Amino acid sequence: MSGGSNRGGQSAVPVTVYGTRWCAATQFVRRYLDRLNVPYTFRDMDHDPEAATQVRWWTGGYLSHPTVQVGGDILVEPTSNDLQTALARNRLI
Amino acid sequence: MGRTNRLEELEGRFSQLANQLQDSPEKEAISILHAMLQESRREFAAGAAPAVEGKERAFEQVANLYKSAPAMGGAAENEGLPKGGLAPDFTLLDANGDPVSLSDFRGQPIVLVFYPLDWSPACSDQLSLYESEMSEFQRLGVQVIAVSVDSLYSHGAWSVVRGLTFPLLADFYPKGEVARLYQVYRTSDGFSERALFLIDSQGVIRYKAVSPELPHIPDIYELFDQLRSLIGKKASTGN
Repeated sequence: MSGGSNRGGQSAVPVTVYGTRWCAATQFVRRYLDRLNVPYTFRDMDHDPEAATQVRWWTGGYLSHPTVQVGGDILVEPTSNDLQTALARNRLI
Repeated sequence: MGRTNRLEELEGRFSQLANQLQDSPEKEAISILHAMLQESRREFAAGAAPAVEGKERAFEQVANLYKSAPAMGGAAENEGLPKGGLAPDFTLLDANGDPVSLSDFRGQPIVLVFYPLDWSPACSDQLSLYESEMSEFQRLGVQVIAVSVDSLYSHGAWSVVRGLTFPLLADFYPKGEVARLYQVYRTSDGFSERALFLIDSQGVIRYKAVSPELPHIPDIYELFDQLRSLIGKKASTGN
């Protein structure tokens, strides 16, 4: 599922949010990206075993949510500052 | 290839290997090393921020206590008042000691939030989430009110630490009376379910969500869908 809206034209660095619908921090991250108008894909770890496997592979075995992939950055339970830094580094904001 | 693109390409290749390796200590070790690299990168980026000391440091520690606080769990024990009925009025004290009644807000939609306890892990994230949506709630003309069994003094401190600007009401004595009124009091724990009631401008409950598990936060997208539907209906009927 995608959130946000396309910024049009140039293909941007992909952003994927791995999380759950009931996790407040996941909801916070998704809404933060919505407000910044950054397009992203949401993968619900409760219903997407591959997403859960992927996150465990990145995190040393933890089912950490949210985990956000911004290009080459894997952000595990990021703060808004972490997100902002990664989005800026990847020229998404 | 720029450094950012190179990292993205390497990360992409690394990600694809997840399903190609059998579970083993070696796979776990590689996974842990990857996590360490990403954490180092994150800490390096955060390292540019000036160190916080003294009272600011103490404030930060208190603000972050919830991250290491004991987890809270348990399945829902109550279903809450059904939608379609009138929301019972009540009066409770806010963090300033001022009485606040549900009927004070009659004429505008209300999101009435019952949460277990101040300072607890999931509650801290939940109320901060609502605070981050304040401009959207205001744009929709919606009042957010939160209720727990904590004292007004706890509410006052917690509001400051979390930067909450909406009313936190103390359902403190008789303990949980309003939670019982809304049928969301957990007698086994001595605090309420995590529950939301969306009340329309006429005082009718239009939506409710009782979390099936205590740490589960109601879906904010579903809440906004319900709110927009309510506001839309209001607009379309000209009320």
